[in-house]
Amino acid sequence: MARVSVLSFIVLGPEGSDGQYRLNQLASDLRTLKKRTELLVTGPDPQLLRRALRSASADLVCIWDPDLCSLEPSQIERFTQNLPAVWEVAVQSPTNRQDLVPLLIFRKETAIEVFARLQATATPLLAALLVARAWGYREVALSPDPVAPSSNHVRRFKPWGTRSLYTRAADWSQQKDVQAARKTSRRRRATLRVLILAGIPALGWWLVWLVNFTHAASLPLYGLLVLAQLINIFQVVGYWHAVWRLREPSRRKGDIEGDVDVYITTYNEPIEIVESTLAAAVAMRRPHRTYLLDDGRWQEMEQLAHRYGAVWLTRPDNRGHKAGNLNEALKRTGGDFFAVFDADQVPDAAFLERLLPWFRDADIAWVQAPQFYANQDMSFTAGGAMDQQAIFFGPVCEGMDGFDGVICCGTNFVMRRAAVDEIGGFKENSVTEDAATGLALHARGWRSRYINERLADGLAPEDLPAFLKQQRRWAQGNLEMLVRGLHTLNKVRPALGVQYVWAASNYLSGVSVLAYVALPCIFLLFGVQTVKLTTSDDFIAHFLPYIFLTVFIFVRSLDGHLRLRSVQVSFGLFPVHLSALVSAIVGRQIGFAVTPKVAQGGSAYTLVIPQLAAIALSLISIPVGLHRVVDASAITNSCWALFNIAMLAGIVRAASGSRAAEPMLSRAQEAA
Amino acid sequence: MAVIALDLRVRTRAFMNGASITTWVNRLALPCLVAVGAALRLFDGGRLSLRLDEGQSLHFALLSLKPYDATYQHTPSLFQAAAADVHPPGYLLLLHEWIARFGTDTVVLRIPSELAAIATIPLLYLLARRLYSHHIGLLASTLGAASPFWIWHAQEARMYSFLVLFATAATLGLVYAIEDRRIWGWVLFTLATGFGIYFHYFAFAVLAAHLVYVGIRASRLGLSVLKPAALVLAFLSVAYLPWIWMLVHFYRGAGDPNLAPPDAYAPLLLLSDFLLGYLNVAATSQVMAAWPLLVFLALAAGSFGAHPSWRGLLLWTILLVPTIGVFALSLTWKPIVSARYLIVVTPALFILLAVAVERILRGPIHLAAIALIATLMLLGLGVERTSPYNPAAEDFHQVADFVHEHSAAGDVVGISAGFNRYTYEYYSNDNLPTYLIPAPTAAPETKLDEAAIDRYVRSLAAGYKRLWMVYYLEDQGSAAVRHYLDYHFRGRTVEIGGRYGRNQAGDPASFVNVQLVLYEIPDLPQQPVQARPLTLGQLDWLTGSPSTTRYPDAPVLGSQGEMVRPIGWSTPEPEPLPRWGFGALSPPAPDDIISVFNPNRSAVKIQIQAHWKLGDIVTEIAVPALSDLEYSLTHWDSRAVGLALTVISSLPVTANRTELSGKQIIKRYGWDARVPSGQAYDGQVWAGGPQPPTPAQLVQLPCGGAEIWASHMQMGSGSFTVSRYLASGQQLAVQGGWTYDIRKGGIQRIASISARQLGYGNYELRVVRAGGRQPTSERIAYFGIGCTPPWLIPPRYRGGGGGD
Repeated sequence: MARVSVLSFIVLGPEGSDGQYRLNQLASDLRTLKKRTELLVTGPDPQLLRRALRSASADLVCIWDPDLCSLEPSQIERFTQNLPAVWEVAVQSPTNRQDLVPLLIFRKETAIEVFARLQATATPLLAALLVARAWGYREVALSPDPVAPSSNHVRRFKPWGTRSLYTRAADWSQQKDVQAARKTSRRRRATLRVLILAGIPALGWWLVWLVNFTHAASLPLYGLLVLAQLINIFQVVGYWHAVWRLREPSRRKGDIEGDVDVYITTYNEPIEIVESTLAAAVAMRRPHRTYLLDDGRWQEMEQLAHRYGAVWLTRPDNRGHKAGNLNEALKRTGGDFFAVFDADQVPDAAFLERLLPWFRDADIAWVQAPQFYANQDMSFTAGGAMDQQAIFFGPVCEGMDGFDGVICCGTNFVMRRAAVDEIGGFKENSVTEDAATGLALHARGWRSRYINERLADGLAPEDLPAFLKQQRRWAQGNLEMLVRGLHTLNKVRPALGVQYVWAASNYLSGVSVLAYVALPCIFLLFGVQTVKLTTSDDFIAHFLPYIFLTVFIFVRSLDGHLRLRSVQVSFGLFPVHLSALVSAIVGRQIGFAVTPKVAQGGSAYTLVIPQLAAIALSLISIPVGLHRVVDASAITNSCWALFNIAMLAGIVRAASGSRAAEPMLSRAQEAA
Repeated sequence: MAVIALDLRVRTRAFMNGASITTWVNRLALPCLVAVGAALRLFDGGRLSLRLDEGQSLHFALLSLKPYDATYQHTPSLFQAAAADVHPPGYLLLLHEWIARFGTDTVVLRIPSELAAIATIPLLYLLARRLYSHHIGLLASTLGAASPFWIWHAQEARMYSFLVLFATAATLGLVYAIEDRRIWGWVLFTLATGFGIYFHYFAFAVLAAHLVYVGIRASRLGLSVLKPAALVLAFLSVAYLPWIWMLVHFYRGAGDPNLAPPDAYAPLLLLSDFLLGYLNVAATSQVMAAWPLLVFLALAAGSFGAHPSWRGLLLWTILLVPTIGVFALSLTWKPIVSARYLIVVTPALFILLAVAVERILRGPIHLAAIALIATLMLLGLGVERTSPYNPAAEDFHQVADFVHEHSAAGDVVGISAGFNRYTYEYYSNDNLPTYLIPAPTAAPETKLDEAAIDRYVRSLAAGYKRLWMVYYLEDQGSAAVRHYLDYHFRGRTVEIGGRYGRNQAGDPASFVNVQLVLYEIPDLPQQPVQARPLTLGQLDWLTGSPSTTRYPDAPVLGSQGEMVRPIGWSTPEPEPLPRWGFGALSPPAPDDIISVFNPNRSAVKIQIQAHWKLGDIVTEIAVPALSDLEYSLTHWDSRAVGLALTVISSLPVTANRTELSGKQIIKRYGWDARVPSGQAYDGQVWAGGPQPPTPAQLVQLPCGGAEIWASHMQMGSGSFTVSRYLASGQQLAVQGGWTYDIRKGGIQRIASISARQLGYGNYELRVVRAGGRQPTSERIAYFGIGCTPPWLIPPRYRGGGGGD
């Protein structure tokens, strides 16, 4: 056994009051301990555990679940005498309950590797032990008289993931956490404002240089660069405009008068998915009536609805798709308020309690909650979709909330019936009926609120075809609004109008990406410069401060949770965005397609042919260009081509269809 | 919050987990890294020439620890010189002791820095390990061991290796002190910071970063940390008070480097220097051309850009506070951005880089990435050490050797800027007179105009054939000198360091800092009065500071004609110039000169009276500071019947081998034909007699300007012009001409010209006599502005005749 005088404690965040008490007790006990220790509290998600492990200073870590057992100082003393060697793991578990593992001691590097293999699970310590066993680690008991667990607490299965983007307030439902979250939010907003103020002159400096066409070596190419950059600059400015007004999280208590209907829209989703949603919807606190709006017209759905005491509604056709489905339900129900969930969005029991109090303001038309993808770790695509949602439902919606004008997102919201009646129901003439409806409401002077709490868990598209279908619909819908909805946009408040335009303009980035992919290839293959050679140094001097500040502001607005994957996915969607732009301009309609919730499996390389072609072109152009001349311009353009390849690699990886391994827990349980 | 760390309240002690090093690979990794790092630092340490700054280090380190009063000059102590210069004395003191024991060989001079650099590698490991893990420690120290930037400054007799050593040690001490509450952490922090601020002022930047870090975390750290921090600060302040006193008394800014203001590329260039070393310009521009990869890295780094832990906060503070502070000061006060000064941020940079690579690239591939970065660094090292166009490699050895090999009699060496001299003198082994151009008395902020440069250059160059100029191209102050020489001196040949001007495309050598240029000196005739600045050898002799190989080339003789030896020096015997001595009882020979050696930092006035039959012409000469003036007697007509030399000076000078003490002197020495041989000359003015034809004489006026006095002129009336000769051609010094009308003969003032219209140079007085006779001309010298005291001019000769 190795002897060491220090230990890092990684503690799973307690869910119960007993666990909280034990944690506090340990914290005070450690002060009196002569041993050198550190204490890190984290969540049970393997991702969070890995972060905690990396932060640990010691090379030996003790992972403890306070909800399962207490930890006495005398035990800790004994632990330090019996610490595991390199190929050992020390475990503390009662002999009569092998499936309860309250405490493990690992080598830090080992623990990181073990938890890297785990999916989110309710019993992470058991899963880790099983993995270690499978890898041949020898188990050693930490003490001859292991403490029996004092409770049979079972941790709720709740992957945390990028939870921190939503709010910290809901973690332990403490009022002081709300205050802490507000303080953090204010600090974050102040930081962002300072950074934006620093970014404005950098942006202006770049813009002034950019629009000076004397720098052009080739006017058409330079014009393309200017167009691409102007689109991005507009997106940047819009983003800064949004996050400038980040609203602090807040919570209202109490109830309001009025009946609440809960609509779950479904169209051929797998029944088990619908069942989870239905069960959770029925179980929500606050009296309400649940309706299953089945456009698939399944008998199984009817039976399912009856089983849970919900009402099964259907209609003879699918006119208007989801909007039509909702409008039909509105005709046949009578609640003063209604909540809408997609078939895969499993609501929390507190959903209605959190959102309804905001309707005490008479001009609130709807209150929106974010979408969270519980299956984000299942595939690269799902993770990329989650990352995109994290950006939108994080700082973007928080910023829009500052304008009292968050966009209606189609699910996870509660709406006032009177408001939607005023505009004649949901808009059926758009593939993004939610946003169109929200725009119409805002145009009428209604306000909306955003509650940044994770109150529903949904499913991300796990494979690329599903993802592209979803993105295509969103892109087309938004661009149609941009192209044809200007008359409506004119009626909303100017600041909010800017936000709508900005949100839609994000789908113009296909033009920018195409330019960024093409320009270096043109130079490398044909030697045609975009920017004059004599001004290329100037280009760096003007561009770099702007781009670095922009990235920094972006990262900080996400509290440092920017994932490269999200940028890669957005970058790789350029053919979809271009196609949607053309469709929106020429007025070509696409059908409303429900995003599949279950992966179809297999690769989808045929869907990424444009991206593959871009990668191939970049790969070919680099050696061709460098063969012709090796100078600063060639190197810069080659590096830019490499950058494009790195960005496009994400969508190609998504096309590979690779999925995460099955949860280790189930296999490990089989082994045990 | 993904991770809520309660460690701030419960963590009580620091730890070093020795148990983590359980495998032999882990055990040997660090010693191997240190060995490799040591080999890279020690290998071939003396091959490259001493650089500019190293020569300065050597010069200052050779000063004594106490001030020294030489014959005419006060020689500062090492401490005084350091206070007047730009760096504190710590390293110089260390080098002083080192030199006393081991000598001044190039290899030997660089050993202290190399040892400090080697010691930094394990310190970096300890810091990274304490912050993160043993693995990160190894990764970071790999980068440090391979860093060409660190290796460059290791092989340099300067204090930068010590600076980074102390910065790393101070950071390590701070971590142990405030995170683990270790007393010895405070001790380490205090000692390291204390030494650091005595070795280089930029240690204050690190201290500032530490203070910012503590300030940010003040509310969490509590009084148990803030109190000892305050005590340490107070202690350091007290410890630094003596030096502050020295700065107040001696700092003048004369030694401040002339750095270029930072531009938008400076951050990229700094990053390139830190990671890949001092590359030649072509390589640097290609490295900077890869900037799109930085955008990718920025996006990738955003993946773990969450609120940094205290570790990340500490490292980012150390990285950003000095950098931003230096840029801010450079933009608002004066440029102080230099890669070597910002070496203090490199430990933090290397650790952050190791952490970033380890986190972005999961798994063993991160080891390959670190290996790739280290390989690129070593490639950069290769370029740094072998490229002849490395802008940081200043090859004075090559320059001095070239001059030695190709110089000939009649050559003179000029050095611009002045701080070049120390390193050049270290290697030069010729006896050519060497001057500083501009003069060492010129204040750095003085903008020399062309006239001033012209006067100065002519004063030293006349009589010589070729001028070897050693330029330091980065120095902004010598730009005016260079411009003048390039324009006025012909036959410019760049021998070393580029064929064009600075930063010329197509010639990478033009970016090399040290340039040797050979000029053909235009035909500058020996002036009747020639004031030359003192050579470097003479200056060294005056201050008692020894050059390494040079000897003063114009020794001073004592009153008995003996050689006045400087302390510790034996001087060779150069060819004495013919001089007309005091007390001579015979007239001067045609090639006799009066030599006045003025070692003072102020000008000294002397007067020369020429006795003519019709009277005296008084010439007052201001001998410039730090100059050796030769007053040639060749232009005196042999019909002069006497010559007197009067020295009016309150400062000591040496005139004609006679040392004159520094008090008000009015002495007259000379020869008067009226005085019978053997009798002493009493200095009376002699007057009367017919006028032999003699040229006119320029006499300086009180407080500027000049008058033209003519004597023995039988012209009656006519006109004359005054022309001035420059290398670019003859120019009319004064517009128009004067007329004269001398009826009575004798000595008359025929013109008065204001100082504004005259500059240093050769003048020609063209006289056109009335009646159409051929014009005659005479070249006369005007070499300064001085005054003829009115009481020296016989009243009957004051005023009158001539007109402007």
